[in-house]
Amino acid sequence: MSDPTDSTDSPASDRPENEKRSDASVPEPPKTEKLRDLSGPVPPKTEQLEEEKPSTEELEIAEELARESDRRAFLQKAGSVVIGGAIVAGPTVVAVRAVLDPLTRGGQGGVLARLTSLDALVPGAPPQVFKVIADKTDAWTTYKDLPLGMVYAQRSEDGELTVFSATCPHLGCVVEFRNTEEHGEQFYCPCHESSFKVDGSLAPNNTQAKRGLDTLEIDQEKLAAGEVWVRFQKFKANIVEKKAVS
Amino acid sequence: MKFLLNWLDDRTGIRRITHEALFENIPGGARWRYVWGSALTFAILVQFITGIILWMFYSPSANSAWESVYFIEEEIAGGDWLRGIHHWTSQFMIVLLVLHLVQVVVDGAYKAPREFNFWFGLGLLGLTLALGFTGYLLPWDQKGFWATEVATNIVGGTPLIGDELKQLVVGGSEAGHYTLTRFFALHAGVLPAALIGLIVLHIYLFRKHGITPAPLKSAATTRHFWWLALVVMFFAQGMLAWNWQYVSNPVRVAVGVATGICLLRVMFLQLRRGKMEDEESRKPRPGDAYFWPDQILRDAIACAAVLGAVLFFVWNFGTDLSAPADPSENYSAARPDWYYMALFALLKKYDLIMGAFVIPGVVCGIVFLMPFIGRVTIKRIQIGHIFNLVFLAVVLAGFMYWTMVAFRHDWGSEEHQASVDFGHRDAERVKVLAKGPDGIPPEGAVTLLRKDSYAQGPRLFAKHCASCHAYEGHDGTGKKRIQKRSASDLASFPSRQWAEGVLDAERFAHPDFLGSTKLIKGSKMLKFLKGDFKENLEGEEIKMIVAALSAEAKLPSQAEIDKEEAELIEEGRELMLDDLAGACIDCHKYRGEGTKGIDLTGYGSRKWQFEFIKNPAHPRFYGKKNDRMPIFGPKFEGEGEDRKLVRPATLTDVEIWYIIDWMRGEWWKPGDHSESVAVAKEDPASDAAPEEQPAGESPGGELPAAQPAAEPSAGESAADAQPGSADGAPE
Repeated sequence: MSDPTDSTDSPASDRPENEKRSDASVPEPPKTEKLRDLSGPVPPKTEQLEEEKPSTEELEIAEELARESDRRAFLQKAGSVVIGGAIVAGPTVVAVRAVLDPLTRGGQGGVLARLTSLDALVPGAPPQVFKVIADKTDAWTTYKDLPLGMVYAQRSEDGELTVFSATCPHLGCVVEFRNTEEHGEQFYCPCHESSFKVDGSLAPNNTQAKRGLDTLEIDQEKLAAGEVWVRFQKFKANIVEKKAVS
Repeated sequence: MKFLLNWLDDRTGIRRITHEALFENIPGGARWRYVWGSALTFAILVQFITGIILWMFYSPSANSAWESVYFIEEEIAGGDWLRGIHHWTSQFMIVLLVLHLVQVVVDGAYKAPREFNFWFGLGLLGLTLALGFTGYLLPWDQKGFWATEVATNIVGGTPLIGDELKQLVVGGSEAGHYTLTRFFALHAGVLPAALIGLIVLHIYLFRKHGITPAPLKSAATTRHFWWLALVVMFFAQGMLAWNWQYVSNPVRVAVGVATGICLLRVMFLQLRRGKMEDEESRKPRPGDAYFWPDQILRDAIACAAVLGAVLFFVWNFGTDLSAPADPSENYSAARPDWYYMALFALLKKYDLIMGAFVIPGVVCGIVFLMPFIGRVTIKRIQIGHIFNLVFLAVVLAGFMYWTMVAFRHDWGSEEHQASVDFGHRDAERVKVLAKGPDGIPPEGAVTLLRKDSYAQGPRLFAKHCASCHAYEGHDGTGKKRIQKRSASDLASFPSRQWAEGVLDAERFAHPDFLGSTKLIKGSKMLKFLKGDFKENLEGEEIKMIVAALSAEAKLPSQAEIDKEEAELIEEGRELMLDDLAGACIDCHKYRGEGTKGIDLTGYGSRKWQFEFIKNPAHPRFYGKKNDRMPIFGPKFEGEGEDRKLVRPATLTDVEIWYIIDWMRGEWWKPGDHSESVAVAKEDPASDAAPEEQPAGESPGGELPAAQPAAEPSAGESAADAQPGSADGAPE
């Protein structure tokens, strides 16, 4: 701002000095043009002045004045925009970062939890519902032994163990195991009537779900020791593939 | 006074502002049809005031939200009315907004140059729906939690950005503290701020363009209005007829009366049509009026009507608060608020994209474009405007139809009704417990139900007992049982009613008692009941035995009658011990007599039940004759030194107590003078571990001495009855 050679930076009170130096500043039309372009829809004042004032001397002075005020206007505008932008952008960046924070907190692969001992599950019996109890951290609170959700465990006649998440793969309600005259034994979601066969696959009368019940990973080492431990996690709702989200 | 006003006016220009506000010109005079905007402004004011006061009492976190709402509802002076007004006014706002929209479209007030005002209005409708959606979760109760679980999964189904959007709305990968803080920030901050902004713009533009002059009030417009009302009422009648069996009498009467009024009015206007038009032609046309006082009076009456309706609903229905949110307890009665039920039905009928995005999107899109569609005129016929009217009517009729479809399904589903009832049961219970000696712990009220026999008993019964037994025909929680019944109905156990049943040959053989077990085949007991028992004893004597047998249980519900009839019971006991009369001790152990069969000492008492459930195959009970009753305690093999655990317990001691105390009606009640509501306190032997502990304790461990123990038959249980391997024939 203090550079004396750059007339555009001169303060308003230096007008007489500018008039003297007018010759020097005249041969810079490209710069002025450029500045004008940048400064937006500035009315072509110089042209109007040319039409109204016939005197060449007066014309030159007026032209210079106009150019000068153009530059000043541009700088004022640019300054306002830059400062204004900065004061808006600063807090906005901070705010957006905080609001978007949950995106950085994805799933941690669920939790391992013990359901029961293998002996307690009778082969061939209907699926039995279990509460998944494990430690859980929700934001600032860490819970010990919190019931997190429900699963169904069942053993086939030959003893093979399957554990389903009770969360409906349609939109996340809890499926129930029921027996109706019409459809026999089924998993059924009371929210939107998705239905699943006893083996977890989609039943013929299923209305909504796009995939069967989600099987949960069973800890094989612990199973060999006669204990049923599963990895309890949530999967994305309403898609064909099984995609973990927690 | 005047000086003061002048002073104020010089500095603020208040006179001009007031004048402008009050003396708004109303072409054609004040009309009832213009009241909707004012009624809505009033409703919004009510929401802001009640909302801010609720804010002073509300605490948004997963273990304090329900609790603070409970406190507002039950403890704060006038809190139930405060919350009630906030809740019901929001319901009425939706109705008022729709009525306002209808009025605007019917009067053509959406057309140029009022497009922007129409869009602002639609924006306000959207904001109100969003406020309803976010407000539904805030109590963090089962209803709100599960409805929001579904709703956020729908958000997750948004094409392209669904996953991220859901994560942002939920505040993480799973619902928790941050879901509440976000929903609350939206509900009390972002959305109301946007609402104020839009209302300011809406009213500014309304004042700028002025009231759209509706067709001048005339005999014809009045007649048209009543015709329209009649058509609407006929539609309502159709809905009523369709759902007749689900609708309560007051509603039937109200719809009937309203239809009758419309019908009479139309007939009256139709009959006097000529005369009225004649009179009208001679009268001068009604002139313009000012907002104050002509229109304001009507507006005030409309606002008072809205407030009256709100207060009536608060007083009559209260405001629902279901049990605290629990991701591990399914809540099958989960439904959104009524104005989302049409969408809910669409979602069930079509898939997610169609039901939640395409259909609502197309409808909203067309409504949005109404100002442009309304311009279309062919040969002087306002075809666009007519399209808009018809479209709006179809959308509203469709909305009502789909809403009814959703409700009909629920009303007609016994399963759903059972879930609703069980949900209410939890909700009522947790409020009772919260007022109990333990109060609400810092972890939240959700833990209260988890440690309560009244809440846990039926759940455990449904899970562990209902595969064979029934409870009043259902599974304990009111739902239909899954498998064929293969054991007794335990609802009356071990009351006198039960004792009468097991001592009556006919009822004994009934499926409600032992008729559905394998034990009934060649049952010695049945033979005895049919023969000697009936012959040896008179009716009065059987009554004595019934009283004596049932008195062994020491049921709290029979405490009074047991005390009154102590003599009768004593006589019954003597009969039972008499090996000729009652002859019980021939086949049962009782009070030191008898050596075999089921022990009748303390039959059905708390401790007897506890040991029975732990090991029904114990020699004290069924022994080797056990049918399929599982051993719920730890299972052992071998005797003495060789005795070893083959399987840990499937029910913890505490869980067994929950079942027993629920069945015996011994859950904590407000009149009880116990220091705690928890069952564990009564039973020092058991810890509160939620799942089975692999402890090698004996089946007859230390128990609360509710009963004098007959024989401390500690753990020589060699009898391990395999499920289904029972010998049907008693010796």
